[in-house]
Amino acid sequence: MNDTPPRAMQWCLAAAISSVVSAMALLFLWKSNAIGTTTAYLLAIVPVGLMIFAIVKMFSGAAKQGRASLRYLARMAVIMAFYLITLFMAEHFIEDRGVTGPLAVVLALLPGLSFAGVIWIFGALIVEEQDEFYRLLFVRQGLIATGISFTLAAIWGFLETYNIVDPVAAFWWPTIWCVGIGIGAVANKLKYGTFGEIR
Amino acid sequence: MTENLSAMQRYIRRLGGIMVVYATALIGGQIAMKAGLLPPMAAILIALICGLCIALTFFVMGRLMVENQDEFIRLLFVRQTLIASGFALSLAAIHGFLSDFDLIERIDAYWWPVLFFMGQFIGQVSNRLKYGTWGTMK
Repeated sequence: MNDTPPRAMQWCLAAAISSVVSAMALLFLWKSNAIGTTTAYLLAIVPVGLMIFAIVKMFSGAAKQGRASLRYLARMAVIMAFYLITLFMAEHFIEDRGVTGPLAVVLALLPGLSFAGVIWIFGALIVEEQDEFYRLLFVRQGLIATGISFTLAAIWGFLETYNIVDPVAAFWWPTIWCVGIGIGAVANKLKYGTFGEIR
Repeated sequence: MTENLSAMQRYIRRLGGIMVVYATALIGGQIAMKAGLLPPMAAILIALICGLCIALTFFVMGRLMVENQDEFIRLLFVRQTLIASGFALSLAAIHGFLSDFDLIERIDAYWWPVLFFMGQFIGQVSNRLKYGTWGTMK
């Protein structure tokens, strides 16, 4: 059995991962004031171009090829690149340039929607995975992550009510959910001998 | 069939017990706080009891999934739970960025588990549309 992913999927995955890495590097350089905003916008052509290439590859057939776990990785990389780029734009326009009103709402919605997309991409992995054992492992990871993140949210929320801790931005709960996916993978390894998510 | 009923009965019994403790701690805490009779340590204790009750609810839901012997009903329950997770976490992600840019107010974190429980109903509607049954309400 040939496990090599189809060429279109290889290109899609390579472009998507390169897009995330270049977007992270760009965001780091901009945040640390190593480059100015104009240079950052010019260099943003690289991650945006790679992201568009990956999306085009995905829509031209790569999304239907290869293993579900590879499609998951490619989608996750594309959405993370989109997240980083939209976060950069939102921070620049809202915080630095003082954009307000409906445009600010749209700018803030974009990183929020892309972060929400992470959860639904994990759902797509569960739906598309053909191997029932791996599907069980993914479902288990998702349920463990849900239990951890909402448990902490509930405890934190009641501590907030009694003014013991300060409120935190709600995106920390999906962030903890992502950490919970890792904890779920460890639970899978302990119970079934495999981490599950990546194979 | 008997095993299914007993799994559901155990679930309802466990959930009922947790809800009694939760409601007692929540209402008692609120009354004591408004009357100014709640020292900081007691407030921490009550907050932890309320939070742990929600945590136990997740555990009890997990036990129902494990103990239920009907694979189809288990599938529906898992499906509705995953849909509820996606619903509540998506709203949390969107709300988080809107509040981080000061476009809306932050809300207490316990609303996200509340939205998760509301999302269970959305999951049940989805089950009804796809499989013709509400699932755990059997």
